[in-house]
Amino acid sequence: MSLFLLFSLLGAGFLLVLYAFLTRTSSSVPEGSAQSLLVAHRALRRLQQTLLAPYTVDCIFSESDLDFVLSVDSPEVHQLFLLERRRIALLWVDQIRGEILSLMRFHRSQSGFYADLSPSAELSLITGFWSLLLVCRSLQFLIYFRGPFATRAIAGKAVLAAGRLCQTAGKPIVFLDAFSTGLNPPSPGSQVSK
Amino acid sequence: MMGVREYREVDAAMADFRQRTLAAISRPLDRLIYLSSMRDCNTGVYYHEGLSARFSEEVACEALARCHFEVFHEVSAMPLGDLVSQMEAYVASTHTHLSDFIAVWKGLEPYRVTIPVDIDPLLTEFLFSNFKLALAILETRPNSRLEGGRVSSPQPIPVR
Repeated sequence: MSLFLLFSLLGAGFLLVLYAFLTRTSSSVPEGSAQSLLVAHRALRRLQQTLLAPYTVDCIFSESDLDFVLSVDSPEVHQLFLLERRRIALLWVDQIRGEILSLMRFHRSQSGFYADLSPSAELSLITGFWSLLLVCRSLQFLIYFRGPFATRAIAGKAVLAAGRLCQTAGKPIVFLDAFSTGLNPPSPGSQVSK
Repeated sequence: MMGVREYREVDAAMADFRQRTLAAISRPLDRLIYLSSMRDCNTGVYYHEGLSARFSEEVACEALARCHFEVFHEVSAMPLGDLVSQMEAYVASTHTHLSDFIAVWKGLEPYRVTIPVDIDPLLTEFLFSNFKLALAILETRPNSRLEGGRVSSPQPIPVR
């Protein structure tokens, strides 16, 4: 029994070391690299321009769409609508979570190179990131079990909190907005051969 | 990358295209389908002879891409009820029987090629989902069902 315990502990220790090694090598972006800066900037822009935009939230949680579908005399359509909107709402939260994680990674490793945030601001930012990730998980849980339309108000509050966090988190990389047109992916027009 | 002069030309080309062409297409859904049909799906490049002749090929392509982007946002922000009505009107304009249209659109999902290239994946998924719902709603309409032995359709019913 004690031998089993010893082996289990050794195994767990080995896995922990392996995990630490892998996570260290997988995020081995050179410190202050332009790549990580661009990834963070893209995440911030996507959050501010699409994922947290009132337009997106209004579309996904649209009460008028719900009323319209309920006016259709077909239980299959009602069910399909609720399933589809739940799928989209879950995808939406998942993508917000992904972009928040990108920003968080950037702040954990790189932000010191670009801006001087006070320790208290850094602390509130880290707390903000973690609480937002927790809110996202709870939101996913609620959307899954209660449906998107019952969670619209909570989603709205989460969006406001995420928007505030983006403003603080975006300070070190906000200077890139001035060059944002140059950072966009090539437009189809630029591919026309001359 | 485009310079300031080219950007101005793109704006002018967009205005020209809106005025001469898009203004004649009243429904945003029709505009979306029309604009996506002007794009080569292998290269993502848009072609319009008239616009290219007035401006340059590059400027015309950029202008069409931006118009496509605008129209996409217009359609994706549309209430589901409006999308259903527009789809119904589109079917009527193509002189296709509703049941045939639904069968083909559900099977081939041609709406997948109506999306501009650089659209956010979430918005794309949202519009696809709305198309799927609109088709399901249209399917509940009485005239969407194939009558037994219907022979009025001039076209053969597509293989399913």
